[in-house]
Amino acid sequence: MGTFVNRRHLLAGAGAAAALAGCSPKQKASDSELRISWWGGSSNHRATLEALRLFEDANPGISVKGEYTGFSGHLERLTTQLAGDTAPDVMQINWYWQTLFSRDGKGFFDLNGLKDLIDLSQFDARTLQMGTTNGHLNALAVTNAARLFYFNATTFERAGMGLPSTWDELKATGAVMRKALGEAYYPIDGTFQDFIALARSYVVQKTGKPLVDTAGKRLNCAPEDMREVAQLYSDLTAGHTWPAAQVRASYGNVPQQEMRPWINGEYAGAYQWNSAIDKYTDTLAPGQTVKLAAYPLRDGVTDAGLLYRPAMMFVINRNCKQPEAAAKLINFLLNDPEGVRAMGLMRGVPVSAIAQKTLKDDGLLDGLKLESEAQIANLPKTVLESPYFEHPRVRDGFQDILEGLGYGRLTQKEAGARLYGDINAILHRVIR
Amino acid sequence: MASSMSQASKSQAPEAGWRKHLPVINALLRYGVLILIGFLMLYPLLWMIGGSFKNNHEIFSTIGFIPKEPTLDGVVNGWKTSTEYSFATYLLNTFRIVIPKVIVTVISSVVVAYGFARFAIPGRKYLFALLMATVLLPKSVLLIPQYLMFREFGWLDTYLPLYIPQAFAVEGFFVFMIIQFMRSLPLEMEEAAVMDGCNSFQVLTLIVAPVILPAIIAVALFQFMWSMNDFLQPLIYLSSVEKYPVALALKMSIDVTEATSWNEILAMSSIAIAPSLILFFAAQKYFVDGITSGAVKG
Amino acid sequence: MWPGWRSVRLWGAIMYNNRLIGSLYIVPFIIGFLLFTAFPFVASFVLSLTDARLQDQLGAANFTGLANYGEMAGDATFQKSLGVTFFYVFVTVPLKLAFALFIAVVLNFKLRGIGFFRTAFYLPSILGGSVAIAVVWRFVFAGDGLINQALGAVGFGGVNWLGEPDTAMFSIVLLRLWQFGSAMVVFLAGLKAIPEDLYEAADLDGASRFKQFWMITLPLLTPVLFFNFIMQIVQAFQEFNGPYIITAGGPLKSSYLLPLMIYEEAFKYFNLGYSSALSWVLFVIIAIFTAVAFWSQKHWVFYAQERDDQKGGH
Repeated sequence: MGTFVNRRHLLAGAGAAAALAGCSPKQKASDSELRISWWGGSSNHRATLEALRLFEDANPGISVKGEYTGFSGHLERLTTQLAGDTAPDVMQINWYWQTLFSRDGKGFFDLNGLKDLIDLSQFDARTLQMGTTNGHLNALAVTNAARLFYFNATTFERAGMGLPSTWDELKATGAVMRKALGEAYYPIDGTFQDFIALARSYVVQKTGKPLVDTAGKRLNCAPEDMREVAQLYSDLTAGHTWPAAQVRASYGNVPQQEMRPWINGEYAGAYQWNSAIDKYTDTLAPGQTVKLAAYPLRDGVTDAGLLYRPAMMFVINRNCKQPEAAAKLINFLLNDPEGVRAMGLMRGVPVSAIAQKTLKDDGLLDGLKLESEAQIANLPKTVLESPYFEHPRVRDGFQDILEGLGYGRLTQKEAGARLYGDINAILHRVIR
Repeated sequence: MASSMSQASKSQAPEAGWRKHLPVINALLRYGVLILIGFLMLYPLLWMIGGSFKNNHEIFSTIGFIPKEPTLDGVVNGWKTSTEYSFATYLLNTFRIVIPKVIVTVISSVVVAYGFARFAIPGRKYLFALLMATVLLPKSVLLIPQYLMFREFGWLDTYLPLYIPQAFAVEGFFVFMIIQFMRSLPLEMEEAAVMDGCNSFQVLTLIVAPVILPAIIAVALFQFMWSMNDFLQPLIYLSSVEKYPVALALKMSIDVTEATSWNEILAMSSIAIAPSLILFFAAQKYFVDGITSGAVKG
Repeated sequence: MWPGWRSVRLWGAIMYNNRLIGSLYIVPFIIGFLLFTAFPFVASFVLSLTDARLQDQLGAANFTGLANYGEMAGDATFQKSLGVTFFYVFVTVPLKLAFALFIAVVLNFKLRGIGFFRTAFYLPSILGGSVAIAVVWRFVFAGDGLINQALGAVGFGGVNWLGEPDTAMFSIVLLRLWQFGSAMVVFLAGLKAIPEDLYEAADLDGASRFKQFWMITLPLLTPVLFFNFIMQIVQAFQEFNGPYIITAGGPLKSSYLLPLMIYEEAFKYFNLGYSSALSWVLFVIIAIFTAVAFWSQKHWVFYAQERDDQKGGH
């Protein structure tokens, strides 16, 4: 019976211990502490933390706290914080998140009011425009990115093929590669979202207008353009150029760069963002190289259909208590050579003119990245795409229809018609 | 139970011929089945541990779990992490959250379950229905209202939202489980204790709790395990990186902008499940020893 | 001595008639409910009657009455998701219970090294929704993954587990079955609670092992079996990790379980009002199933107190 008495005391003691142990002191950010949030991978975190440290050194009196995660969960947390008004002072966002959080332009701090602290002249008008809603400059682009055609040069050499440079050549690559290397090989691969971007490029090259008309809440094209999109998908998959839906899906919900066929060179191409091309080259099995192909253009093109838009942007919390300090931080990270060097190319090639020059002079911009930048610079870019193109409902709308087509649930004609009808309906619903 | 089964076979007269080997065949069969199923269960874990020592190319190209070119990069870099803190910090944080959580869950669940199981509480049926109702709603919808509530309390960026609710038996799952175990006990023991002059709390702690110890251990084990894997709650409530538990730390380097070092993540995941494994291995003898038999007779 | 304590048929045997003390015991739950659960609970229901957007302050939402529920009725995705969820529940729950019980019985044998096996079988549950599971499981189910290689070794052709709408669901089911450890542990605890002397008495009577299982083990296990039954139903209806990590609900929404839809509606499309409505529909469905199960327990669940009262019965 003695042991039982001890046990009861133990329970009571444990309870008290739990209550005491758990009381971690509520830590509030001190008044002169800035909070900045971002997502990224390991190198990204290291680089940014280093940049923040340098900023603190250059600005005694301001301390900066980094709140960072991987991409998974970041938007959930940011949304919760914005809804609960506990968001950090400076936030990294995706371009289209502006449509989610600042539809009227008042969701974030207006950076125009901080012009004397942030050197906006380093950014071209187009980039600034893409961060402006209703005249309020909400977001400043860290980097811009566009989708380009990258191919596994090693595989193409083995097949005795050159890289395609026109749409027709692209469509023909499938049959040639299959003959040379076998069923398992495809010249280019991607998720449905990648294909949708490719198709958009195809359509915009013809129409010369952004695909989504924000003011009119509809697609900026004719029904036959959407039929062409369905046709393009059928052509590419039937021609063994792009893997069929079932084939791709057999690998499950895996990012493209982690799929075995990409690693081994069987899926030999990607229509990907130039800012993220490193993650594709990094995972390749040793001995393979990736090359940039010339961008296919239709005749009489006024815009190459590159979805050239900010890859990541910085915003300031609209209720920020220290906007000047926040502005200084942003300026340091984007325009100050020290900050730029520390941030490096983790997020892509920076937009700011000073930043580009600094990195070029340091020789950090080279190889594939330099080539990509040059190609983007030389292609016609007149179109400013609406961020609603990347709205989740729109993306999923496109995907569902193409999936239906891919799995044979829809005929090409039906898919084309639904692309036009359904997407218009979705746009009408989500644009407000 | 097992001893009685082997006793049953022993009580039969030993047969002649091949029947003599029956116990051996029996054992072989049992071990065979166990090993086969065990391998299926274990294989993914073996692959995970093996992957910790592979380099990243190999991880996706081979199914076998023995690395062809073993390397310690995954383990070393994974431990250092890309943040300002080492993995040890995150492990410690996890324990800071999970251990209080488990303790308060066990205590409050047992106490509340006893109330439901043994007392004529007014409106007992409806209160129990309320308890069950809390289990039925998907948690993702409660997230924002709960967040706002904890913001009002001033508990953001602390561990409090992660375990204080558990001190109030909000996890209907565990309360229900303990109730079921209590209800499967014959009342004789408790009646005897009451006749000896114990009050209800003494009956609970001295008689009932020891008897349903397997269930209590199970509650502790489950809560421990599930809390270690909890991602969304810590994500929402903790904004300071130095307070992250391992569930957050593991996902921190999986990103869309750069290639993920999976060997690091696999290595750290293997370390992260070690506490649960050890706990289970230590706890399972509570599922083995029959504590009840003596008590009923007494 | 507590006056008047006796078995009461109302809800099961009670021991003490002292309501005050009883209420004291459940006070933590009352406080906890009022403090932590009631507000979010009610709030989520109110949200389901609005057009709340996730990223806006809650006050900015407009009251729309039953519009969300009406929209649900015509939503083809919802109907598909509901069908898929029912299929998942009806397939997974019986299989998982049977499997867990079988393994628990097997693991209850006193074989040497049984502890090691118990840990091995419980391991998948520990991995839970861990990050590593995603990689491993996709590997196992890929077109050239472990399962297809095993099938090939015995002469079957490979199956496109994750790529075809017809089979994608099975990968989720199998993942859940593979993680049967929790149910198994509860069964083990229940098996251990059965007094040995009952088996010894049966042995003396000459009952076979099978008969012992049927007449002693199973009936005495029914409270625990009932618990597992309820919880497996609830958990199956709330299954999220599998579809989220491995198939993303596809292909063609063939594994788009309702909890995943609820999550996406809230956190992908930011439609908090609709998501709350969906979750309350799910809540009602689970509540109905649970209520029916509770009602059914008087037919097949066997509590020890009742055993005492039916002296001479079964």
